[in-house]
Amino acid sequence: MSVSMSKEKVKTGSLKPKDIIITVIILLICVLSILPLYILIVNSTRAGGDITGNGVSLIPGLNLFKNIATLQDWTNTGKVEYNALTGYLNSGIIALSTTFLTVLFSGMTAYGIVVYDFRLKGPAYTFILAVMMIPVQVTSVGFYQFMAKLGLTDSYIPLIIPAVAAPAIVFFMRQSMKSSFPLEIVEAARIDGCGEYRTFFTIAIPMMKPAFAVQAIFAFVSNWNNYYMPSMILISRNSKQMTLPMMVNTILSNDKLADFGAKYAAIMLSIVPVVIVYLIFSKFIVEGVALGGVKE
Amino acid sequence: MANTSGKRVRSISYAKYGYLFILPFFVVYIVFQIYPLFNTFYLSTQSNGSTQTEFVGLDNYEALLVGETGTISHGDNAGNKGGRAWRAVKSDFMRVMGNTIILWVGNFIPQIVISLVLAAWFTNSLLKIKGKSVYKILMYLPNIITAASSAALFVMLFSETQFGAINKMLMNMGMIADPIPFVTGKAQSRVMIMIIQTWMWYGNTTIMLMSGIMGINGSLFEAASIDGATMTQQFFRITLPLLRPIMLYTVVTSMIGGLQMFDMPYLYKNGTSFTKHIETVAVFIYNHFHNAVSPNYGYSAAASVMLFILTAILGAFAFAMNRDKDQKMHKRKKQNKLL
Amino acid sequence: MKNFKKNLALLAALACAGTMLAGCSSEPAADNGDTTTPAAADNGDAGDAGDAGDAGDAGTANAAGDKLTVLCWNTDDINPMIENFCAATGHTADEFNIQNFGCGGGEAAENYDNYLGDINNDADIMFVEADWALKYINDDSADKGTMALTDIGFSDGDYSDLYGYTVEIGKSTSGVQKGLSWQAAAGGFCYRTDLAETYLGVKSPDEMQALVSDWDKFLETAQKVGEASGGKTALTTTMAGVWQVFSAGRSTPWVVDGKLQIDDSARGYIDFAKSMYDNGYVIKDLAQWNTDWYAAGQTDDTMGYFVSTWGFGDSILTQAAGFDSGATYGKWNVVVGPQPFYWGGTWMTVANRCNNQDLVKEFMTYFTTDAAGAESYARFKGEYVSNQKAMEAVLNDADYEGIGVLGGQNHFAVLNTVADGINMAGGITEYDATIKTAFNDAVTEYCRGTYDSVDATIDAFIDNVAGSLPNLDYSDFD
Repeated sequence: MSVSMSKEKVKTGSLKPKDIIITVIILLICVLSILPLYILIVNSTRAGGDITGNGVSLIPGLNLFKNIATLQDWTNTGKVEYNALTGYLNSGIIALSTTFLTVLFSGMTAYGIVVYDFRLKGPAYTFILAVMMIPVQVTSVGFYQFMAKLGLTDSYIPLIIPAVAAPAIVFFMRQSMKSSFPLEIVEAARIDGCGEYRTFFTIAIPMMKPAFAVQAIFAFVSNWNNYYMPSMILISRNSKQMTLPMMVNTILSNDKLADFGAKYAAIMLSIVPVVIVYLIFSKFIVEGVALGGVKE
Repeated sequence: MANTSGKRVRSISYAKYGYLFILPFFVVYIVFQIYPLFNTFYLSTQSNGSTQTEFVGLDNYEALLVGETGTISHGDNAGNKGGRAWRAVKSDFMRVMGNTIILWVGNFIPQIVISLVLAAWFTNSLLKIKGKSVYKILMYLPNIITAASSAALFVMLFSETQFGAINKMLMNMGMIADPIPFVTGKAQSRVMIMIIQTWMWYGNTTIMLMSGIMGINGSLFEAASIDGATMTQQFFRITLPLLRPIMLYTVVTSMIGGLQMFDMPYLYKNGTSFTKHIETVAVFIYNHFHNAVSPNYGYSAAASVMLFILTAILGAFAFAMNRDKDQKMHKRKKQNKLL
Repeated sequence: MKNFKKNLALLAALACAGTMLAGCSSEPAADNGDTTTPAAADNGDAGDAGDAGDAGDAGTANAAGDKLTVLCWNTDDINPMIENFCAATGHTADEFNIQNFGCGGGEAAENYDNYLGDINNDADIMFVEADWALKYINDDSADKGTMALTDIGFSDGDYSDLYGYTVEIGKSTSGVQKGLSWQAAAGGFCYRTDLAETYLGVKSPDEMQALVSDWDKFLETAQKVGEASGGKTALTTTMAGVWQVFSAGRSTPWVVDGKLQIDDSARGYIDFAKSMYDNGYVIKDLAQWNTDWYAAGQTDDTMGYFVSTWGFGDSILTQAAGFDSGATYGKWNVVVGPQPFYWGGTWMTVANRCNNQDLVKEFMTYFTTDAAGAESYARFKGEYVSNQKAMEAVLNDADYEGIGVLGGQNHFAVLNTVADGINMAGGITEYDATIKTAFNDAVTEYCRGTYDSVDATIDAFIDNVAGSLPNLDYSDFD
């Protein structure tokens, strides 16, 4: 990046005490951040009796494959509906489509509000901000009842299509555009004869990559982990439709399945894909993909 | 600004693109969410304790806000005072409101401070932090685990008996004689929720702020460095002012998230009983709505509406504050230009 | 014209996104194999041909009105039941459709309501838990209600062999029999034999029972154990476990004529609990079902658990003993304890929309009133069944070896005594679970010192209840 390179040119030198202190602080925060995840992974490698008998441990055990085999056994004997591959597929379909729709349409909506001037712009934006503030605990049930009336239960439609309207993400996109998307570019594009949609898709989106990447990660993770809404909508619990969190819940909610090792293995398996997707997307943030077109 | 540019170049023909760009959002919102929205307002005027509800006017609001001395306006007991049931639900509602505000303030302040400092450090290339890119990835990981899993882990770590990992450790070290009630103690449970919420969300906020900082035109920093501005000066003179839109977003969304805080207060419990000191409005709403033998739709919908109104007022306040600053900034910019 | 093209391009992009979604959503809809809802039919049209094969397989697993559909929240019971039933009667598993919601028992009712909200969804037998059984048993509506068992061919004299309490819980408030259980979930007090010998000089279950046969003796014994162990060992593990048992001894229902009642025994419990807690006769603030609860059983910090029929295996006692290589495995025995009680258990009710009444009758009879069927299932699953005749046949079996965690003790004999003695004088109401929890919460706070008197605790309890059950009459407590 030009920013960092030029700065390094300005000041080069050896590590200062300040750098070291900051590094230590950050290191500490990072250790605290990953510790619970680490314990979770360690637990998935321990025997159930070891977890209940000895509590927390930082040393991995040797039972990972045995725990996964136990999960498999529970599934084979019909005790739980847990099929990680089907779960990956279903959660993947839902999380990827919602992420795509959320990011694209929130970007579009925000772009419409930031770039254009129209009579209902003010009311429209106020409306978006207002609906963002509605608590979800009650509306979600009304949502279910409405979908039931429309005959849309046991369908992915109510889980995917509403992602088009994500008020908080529109708000974020609008704020990012305000701070880092110069409208002169739109004007320049128009002068060059570039159409409005093309400007959005080929100029605005690439320039807003960090914002889109951030929201894509957030949307993917929250949709992947969403248990409540799918469990409400997919009411018939068709094993081929169930999402991974629903499957994990059949295990965690069952008091009579006592093997905590296998339970942690189920949680661990459900986290792996999210971590992978996160690592892919985080590249955009970590590498500091900033503005492309604005510098000149 | 949008207006000026739009008007300058063929002002008439571009307005419709505005509508076209926002159309999908509104179509989908209206199709899927308008019914649930009105349903909430409708339910807030309905009776409690049964799935077959009756109209009770504003009784639920009176129960939650006035309590015992409020007058029942509809149904068999019309004309009577609300009595014990209203007193109990009012004191519950006041308690959860108080909890919500305490927990929100207690997690918002540390979270925003930590996130701002980290975002500034991570985006500042004057600092030599080894393995910076790895840290940036790690800090978001708490958010990847579902709330249910992390709550289970925290309950296991901070379990308040002699078997809990942290208590066991402290007792073995001789620092405490009796286990600390991390889950049910008033101060302890609240501090724990603040810490857990901060732990869960600081990475999220940091990433958002970082994306905002990276969106700032790099040449500004470059110019400032050449002029000899220090790191702190750059932060306060360039980063913070230009980050204002994203800061506003962070403040408003974390305010919404905080006022509607649900997962952790709901899941962080000793066995099956909720800890009263960390029960939030969202938990109150959820529990009344999902009460199998007595679904109290009226209470929970009325609480929902009031939470919405409170959020909207605070949100409007945040926007108003920001607008004032925006206007001041504009003036200053103009003055700068004149100078 | 240029703009028109751009608009077209956008539309095309949207259409692409739309198609992608249709592709996604049609897949599950087609899998559903359910063509009764319009949406499913629509999606079936839009779906691609590749899904057709899946739809065929899934058809066996879902819907289909002519199958016996069982609503449940896990498959722990229904799977072995169907297996045992089919082996004995020649029916096939194909005749059953398991509608498993895969959630905790507490969330099942909400899922049932949502599922039953669509009248096209099939439901014949609904499994219910005692905590919320009355929600459905007292409901006569066409959509969410249940049938009287006489409507499917049972008669009220059929239940004489069943443990009385299991029959009582299946009755509606107006006395109509609507549910039956195949299980008896009677519970006893499990104690560590080695610690009992060290601290109390107890050598047999009979001697132990004599020391814990009522609550006064239980407290005395707890004190002895506390003194003998230097305060290290608690007689029993959790306060919630004690309350589970203690509350079974009430003599008035929690709610009479819509008014909240506070039984004298419940009032008496408050001081009892406080002395148990303050003196460390239970492990302070330990909750059930978390890992600490199990961990305690492998230490000398606790001497006993209250365990119900289903809890002797991995789900409670065996796990608390650390499984078969654990520190205390085989060092446990069970006695009746201070108060006969039941804990848990699942009841079968018949949905009003049931369209397989003959098979439902046959199925329910096999597991309840038919002693041969119940005995077969008791042996097949190792279940403690509700049919007393069947249970006695199993008990008198000379080959029975007992279970490992109890060092070979025959716990069935003990539990039989308990099941016989369960007293239903306290009655049941649909509010019991909420009220019992509210009471325990108030007492727990009192133990921790939040309230300074018994009256304040009772007051807090009433507030707890009034806050969540607004339709009860609290005028006695104003």
